[in-house]
Amino acid sequence: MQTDPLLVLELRSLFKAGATPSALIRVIAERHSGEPAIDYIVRLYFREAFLIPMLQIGKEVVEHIAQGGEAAVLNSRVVHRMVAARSEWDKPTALNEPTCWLDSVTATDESAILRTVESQNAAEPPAWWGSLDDEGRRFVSRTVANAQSLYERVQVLAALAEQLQQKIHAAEVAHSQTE
Amino acid sequence: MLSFIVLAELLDGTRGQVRGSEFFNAMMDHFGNDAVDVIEGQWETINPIWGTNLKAFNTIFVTTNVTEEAAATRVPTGIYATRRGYSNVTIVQALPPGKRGSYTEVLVEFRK
Repeated sequence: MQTDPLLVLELRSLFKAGATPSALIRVIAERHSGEPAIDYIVRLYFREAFLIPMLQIGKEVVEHIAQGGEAAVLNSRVVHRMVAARSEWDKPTALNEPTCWLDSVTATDESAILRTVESQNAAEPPAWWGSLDDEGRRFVSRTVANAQSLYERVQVLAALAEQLQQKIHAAEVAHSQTE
Repeated sequence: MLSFIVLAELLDGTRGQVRGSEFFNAMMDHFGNDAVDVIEGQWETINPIWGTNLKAFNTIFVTTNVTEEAAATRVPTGIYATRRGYSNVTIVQALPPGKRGSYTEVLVEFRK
């Protein structure tokens, strides 16, 4: 099966506007209603649209989300990876392109963070570095790298939460003006 | 990058007749070791029925005091990878940090 390029672009736009992974999954499930392998299709679109190699959700989770169920875990696990790959799926096309919540955050591939921490520790080791064996050094480097990655996740989720709050505010203002 | 999942068991308990190791070896035979630099394992709790490796990884810490790197070679994917010579293990991520036996996210790389 091939992805619909228009739907891929739509998913990217929705994400840039603040749609969460579960909201994107609902859109895909709606467009491909009745497909027996809907989880496969969802994975295909996330790979194509956001370079997520393997979205780890099965059919029952997709159906749960499609029926309005929540999947908060996807926000903490997947959004950071979607942001980390942004330079690949969201190349600038116009100078005056409007800004979006993604512009205020950075996300780095977990392997790249670990490599950076390891090379920093090798180049400028802390004074106590020599007292650790290889196992201890690996543990410290990994823990520092994982902490940096988690910090990035917090920043990404904070920006997304603010974007969603702005959308709620705009909707409330629009609603009050129609009353 | 090639990504794949081997499902050992469906929700209703049905198990396939082809073993995970057979899937793994067939894939590696198809591409050849020279074409594969890294085997990456991404073990998470997002989908509870896809937790074979993570469950095995966490269980190891209950009974032994091995490193995360050593534990990774004792779960199904780690066993398949090391058998093919990918025995250089890097634990890129193990979250929550320090929660040995209760990890919910593990990202591991096996290299030759």
